[in-house]
Amino acid sequence: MERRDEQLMRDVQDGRLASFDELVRRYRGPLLRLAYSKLADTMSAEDVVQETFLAVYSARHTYRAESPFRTWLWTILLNLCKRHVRRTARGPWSHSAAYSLADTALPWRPAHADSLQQLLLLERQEQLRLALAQLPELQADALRLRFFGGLKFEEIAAAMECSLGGAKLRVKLGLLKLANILPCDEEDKP
Amino acid sequence: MNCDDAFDQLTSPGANDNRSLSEHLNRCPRCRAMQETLSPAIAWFSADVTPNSAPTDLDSPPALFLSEDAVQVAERAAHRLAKRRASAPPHGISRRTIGAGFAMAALAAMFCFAFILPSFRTPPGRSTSTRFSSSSTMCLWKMPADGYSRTPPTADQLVATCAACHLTSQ
Repeated sequence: MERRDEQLMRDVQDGRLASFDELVRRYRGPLLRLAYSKLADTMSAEDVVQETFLAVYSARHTYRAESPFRTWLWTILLNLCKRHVRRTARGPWSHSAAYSLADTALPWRPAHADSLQQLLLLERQEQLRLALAQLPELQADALRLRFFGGLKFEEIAAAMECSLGGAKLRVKLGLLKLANILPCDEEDKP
Repeated sequence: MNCDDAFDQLTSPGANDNRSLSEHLNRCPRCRAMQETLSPAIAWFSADVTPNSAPTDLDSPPALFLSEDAVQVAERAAHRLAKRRASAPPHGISRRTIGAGFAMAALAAMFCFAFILPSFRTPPGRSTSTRFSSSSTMCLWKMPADGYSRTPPTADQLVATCAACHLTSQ
């Protein structure tokens, strides 16, 4: 049976570092996905995710196991992404920029370069990123936390310092706007 | 399952086949319409590309970098979340229970307005405004500027004025 994040974090607080590796293994992928979605730059995303883990480790003694670990983790990532955007003094997406996939490098190389399916998935992911970048930041972040992070609404509310209703509203409004921005997926239709 | 739970399920990553959700959607046209509107956008998130294939072909591993304010961000977040947790309702008392409590209180207030205020109802032939003539006598909804320019009404007066209007208009 898989151990809970909070138990692993308690191990880390007690100096058992192998548990920290497990936490990194669990969350690195989803964190990278969110960070890339916000920063639109692979290396920056890698840096921010790495710094997030290091910050977790350095501040491990301030963590209280009563609150979910992943809420803490995602809160740190979100804040570090915002800080990164402020520092680089340029948004993750310029609204004046053309909405063009052709100009945009794909974020990650597929594991099997000959896999057309995977390339299509990457292109789709990029399209989603561009669409998210057109939403108000709060709505886009709520969607990222919900779908990339898999957070519950209570956790989103805690991470974004808003009410439960506010978190739901952000997700709902964001989805409504996305539905207008993104092309309807013909393949999904019967 | 209520509509709130249905929204949770609809937007839940990975929860695509849920029997209770289907049952709810069958009998709730509002949620069904919501699902039809949102599902195209949600479908875009389902294409999950695991970014484990992020550039790992670097010649050398990236240097570890941790700034002091990143640690402060983590510490502040930990304190804030612990504080938020502490101020949350005690375990076992759900938001729904609290909501039900508020609903009961609201019902009790409505009961008071319905059965107690009629005893103060204005006698036929007299204007409603004379009822509160000593301070703010007019309907503040119809003439808010006039009403507030004299003496600002207390919360009780304001509520009583509105309730009296509504009850006498029935």
